[in-house]
Amino acid sequence: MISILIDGFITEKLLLSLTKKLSEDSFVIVSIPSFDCETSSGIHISLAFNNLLKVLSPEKKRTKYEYKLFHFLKKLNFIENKQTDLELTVSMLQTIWVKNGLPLRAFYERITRGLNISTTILPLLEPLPNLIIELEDGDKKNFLDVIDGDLTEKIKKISYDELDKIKLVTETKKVLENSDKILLFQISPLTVYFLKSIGTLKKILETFKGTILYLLPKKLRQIDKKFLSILKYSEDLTGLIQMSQEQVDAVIFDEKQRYLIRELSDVKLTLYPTPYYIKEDKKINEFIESLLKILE
Amino acid sequence: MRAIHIIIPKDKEKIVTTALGSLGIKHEKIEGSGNILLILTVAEEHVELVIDAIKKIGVGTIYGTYQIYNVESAPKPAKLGFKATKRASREEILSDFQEKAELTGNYVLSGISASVLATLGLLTDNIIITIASMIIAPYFGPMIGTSLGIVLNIDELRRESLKSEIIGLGLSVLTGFIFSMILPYTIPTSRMLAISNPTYIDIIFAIMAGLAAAISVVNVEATALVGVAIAASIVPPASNIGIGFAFLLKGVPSAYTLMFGSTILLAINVLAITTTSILFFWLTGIKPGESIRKELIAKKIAKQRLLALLISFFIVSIPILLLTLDHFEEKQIEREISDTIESFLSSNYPDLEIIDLNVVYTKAENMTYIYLTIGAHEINASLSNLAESLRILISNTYHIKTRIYLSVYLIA
Repeated sequence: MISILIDGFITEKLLLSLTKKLSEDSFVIVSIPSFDCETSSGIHISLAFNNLLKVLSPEKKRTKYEYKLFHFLKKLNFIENKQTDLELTVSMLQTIWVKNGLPLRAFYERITRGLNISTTILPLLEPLPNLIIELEDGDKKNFLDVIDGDLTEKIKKISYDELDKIKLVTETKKVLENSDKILLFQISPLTVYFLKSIGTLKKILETFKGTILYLLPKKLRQIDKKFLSILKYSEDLTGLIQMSQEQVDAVIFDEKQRYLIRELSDVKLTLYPTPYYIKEDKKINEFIESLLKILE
Repeated sequence: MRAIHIIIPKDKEKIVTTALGSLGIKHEKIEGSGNILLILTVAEEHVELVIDAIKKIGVGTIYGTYQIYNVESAPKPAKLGFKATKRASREEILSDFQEKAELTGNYVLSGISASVLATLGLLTDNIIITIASMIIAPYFGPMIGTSLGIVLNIDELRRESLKSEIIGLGLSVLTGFIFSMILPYTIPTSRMLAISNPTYIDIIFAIMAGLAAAISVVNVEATALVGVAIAASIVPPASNIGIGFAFLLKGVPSAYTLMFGSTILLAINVLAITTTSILFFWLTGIKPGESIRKELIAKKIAKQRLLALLISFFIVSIPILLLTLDHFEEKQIEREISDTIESFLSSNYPDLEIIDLNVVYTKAENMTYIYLTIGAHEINASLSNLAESLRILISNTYHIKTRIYLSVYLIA
């Protein structure tokens, strides 16, 4: 069994190609709420879960990317951050569900079944965290405000609301503990930091008997570099690997980035080079084949 | 010196040579149609470093393969800027012991043969046959395999080794039992009784056997017959347990002592060898090479298992340690009684000559047996009271039941 851990950023083609190649009962996807945030009107938005639904749902692309509800709610001055109707609906339903104290696992099950998603998606934590970003001028914003307002360079501090109250979802904990492999699927530096911040999760990762693989992002986004600099690591893939070295066994990286082998020769970590293609379908298959070989 | 052959697809050449380059290692290259062969010559202590570096980038797991050869003679390779302990690499040790620890038909046959010889050696008190059994016993592999499995946290190796170890020991006990039942007129021999009464010397022997075995495992030079020390600690006590059981059924006296004493000795030896070799491997830096996370897990688990082994070792050693303390106490009292007798005789019977004095004290019975041989110039009335006087003196001074055996020789 492979547990694939995913955060708010997903390379759609890559994830779809991988899930198609794996048999349904051989893996689960765990949604990491590291980019979860609340809008000013109190709607809790789970970037990871919303994106997973968009990627994995067999609904028509046009349906998945409609903005009618968003425009209507914006007109009512209820929302600022641009979200698709699917994302907004799921977020609002999730907010009501959580406010009523109902278990998140049941919500995930109901939504995925409703959208005809055959892949099992598990929530990682309960209650959901809320990422708060403090800017240099002391202003506090949610993650979507920062992205929409292009405020990345002004980020000063990151924190989560009531992190100490957050607990691992029991079923997910069991699944993680019984997995043979855990794949961190192109997660961001912020997510690595988040995983290290949750005591029970950190312990699971540190004592996990199987292998933890980290499929690196092909390159770092501006916001990833900013997070790395805030967390006092070098703003490149070397910094990201150094940050995660105690939590993972192997890093899967683009074989063209050979400088990583030279720079990380003293880091005790396996570095699997793979041909990193994420655009052309034919090449993606080549990438997936080598990824599957590593996962075997 | 070792030669390492790395066979990889051509498209991975740059990756592998980058990794080797970062270690400062030079190589030769032979090109085939789809693959290339990289040939490296390195000092023994650098093999692990090179293998870790190429495994780290997927050689042997996701592409290509590697082989390690012993080089008889070659120009000395260039010195690397890395310090390493001169020992066999983890890969070499592992591949060797993964094979040796396996439960195969040959292992079972060697185990039975060794046990038959050990049983015959013990029953006939023949040391030559007993030594022969130690030479052919195959228990070295599984015992070291268990320790390696614990240190490197390889469950598969640990389980397979333990399985081989338990089945091997079980076979030794069974063989001892069957042969003692079949052979007529068998009685406990001095060697069997010695094994059934372990002392602290046996504990020291077992610890040294474990240490010697562990040293031989990491030694880059091949060392022959190191398994004998291990076998010496394992095969005779295991066979003796079976013999003791057969004696119990036959109604031979001291059957319980044979069974109990040998079981204690076997347990102590197994625990001492395993614990010592784990500690040695740990101290010589044998640890998982995959990642720092796996290394930390292995360290934590090895610590827990080592602690459990040490506790078990001390618990099983308690009877032996108590017996050893008793033994020291007995010897002390025997010495004091001897001194008391000598001083009593010199002050009260200055004309008597002590020819021999042997004091045996058994703490369990609180009884002392004094065997005194004296020489006298004449037999008189006072001499006839000597034995009784000594008995009263020792009984009153030490509060011990005393029995005196007195022999008198006339001196002319």
